[in-house]
Amino acid sequence: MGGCIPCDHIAHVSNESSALSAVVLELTREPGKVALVDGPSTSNPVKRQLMPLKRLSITPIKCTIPSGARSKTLEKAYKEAEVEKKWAESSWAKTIACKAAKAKLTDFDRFKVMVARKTRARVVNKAIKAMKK
Amino acid sequence: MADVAISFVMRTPRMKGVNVVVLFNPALVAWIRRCFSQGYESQVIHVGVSSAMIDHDKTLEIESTDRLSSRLSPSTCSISVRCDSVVQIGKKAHAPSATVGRSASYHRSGKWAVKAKNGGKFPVHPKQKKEEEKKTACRYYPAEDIPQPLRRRNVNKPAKLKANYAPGTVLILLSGRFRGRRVVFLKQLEKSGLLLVTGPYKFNGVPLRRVNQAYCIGTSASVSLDGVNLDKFNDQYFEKVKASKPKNADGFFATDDAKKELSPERKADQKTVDTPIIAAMKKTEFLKPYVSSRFSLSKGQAPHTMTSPARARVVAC
Repeated sequence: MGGCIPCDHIAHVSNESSALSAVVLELTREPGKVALVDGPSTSNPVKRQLMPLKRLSITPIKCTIPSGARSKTLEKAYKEAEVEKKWAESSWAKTIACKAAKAKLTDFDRFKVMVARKTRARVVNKAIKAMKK
Repeated sequence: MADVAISFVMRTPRMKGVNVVVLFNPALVAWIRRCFSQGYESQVIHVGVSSAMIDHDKTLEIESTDRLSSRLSPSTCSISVRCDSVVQIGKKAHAPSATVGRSASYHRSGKWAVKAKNGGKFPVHPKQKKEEEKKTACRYYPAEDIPQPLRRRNVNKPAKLKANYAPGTVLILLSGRFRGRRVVFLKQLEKSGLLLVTGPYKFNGVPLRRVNQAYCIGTSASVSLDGVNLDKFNDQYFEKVKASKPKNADGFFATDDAKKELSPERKADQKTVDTPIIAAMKKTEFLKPYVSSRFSLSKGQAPHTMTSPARARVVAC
């Protein structure tokens, strides 16, 4: 990773074994390799642990915490900053959600999606044609 | 020991009418016959006579052959074995049926005693079961090696129904005439294990049909089968009807040119089954066009990624 990683950033854990979750970067142990991480979210909590940076994708969302802050303080700051809300609004989170939903589609759902796309396309093309005239 | 006696009736003028009884061992009959054929000029016949029944006046005791040798030839006498002239040596002369003939052998065998013991009939023993011949291994190998087919230990059982196939599930057919169609699964047939399936016929042209599980994909879409009676459908219903051809030259060369008409019964059954299904399908939006359409893979799609939600992994970006 180029540049310094601010210690109070939210990273999002991106490895397969754990759910996508926002996690607060606390400090880097081995600079550039491992971070102490804690995710106080209610839906996908991440236990306070060391995690290799490789597993993490840093987001622009921040929440200010004093260095070395422990879980309770962290949780407070996390809620104050409304991290989860900000995350859900971000387009990044939306695309992740989209992909997840697509992967879960059943054959019937795929059919419905196809029909919806066709209907939309018909409407759009009709409008375009009308505009062209 | 004499068992057989042969009486001769002399025909020579001098001894005409004389009854000569020859008692000798049956083994000597052949000898006698040989003697006769040779003329037995020099043979000795020992002859014995029982006094009991023989008319002494008319019998002749012969002790040597000399006098008779030329006499006892086929030309001079005729041999007759007659019951009435059979006697036994060393035993009391009794009923004429002494040594020769069926009655003599019967008497000799003692069967009459057994019968007498059993009240006039032969005792009947229950039939013994034949013991199965134990197949002992051959001591020698056969000269030619006859190939023996290996024993089949395979038992064909109807296939187990897949876990997610419930009656009413929409299946995708993968092969055969109706590949790619989405059909409604009705029930699994007991004998063959095949799945009974219908289009419904109106939507995708698939009639009531049997289909192998291996050539299906199950979807999570389903239709309720309330009011559908599937009792009459079994493997026998779908059996091919063999048209009997006449067993002559015409029949042999005849081809099935006539188009096979679907029986009205089948058509009626199709309608009976499909009507409630169609009604149920109409309640779910898009289900009718879904079933009317075909399944296919387009670019970027892979079957292994189209798994059920329960198994799907969340893909991270």
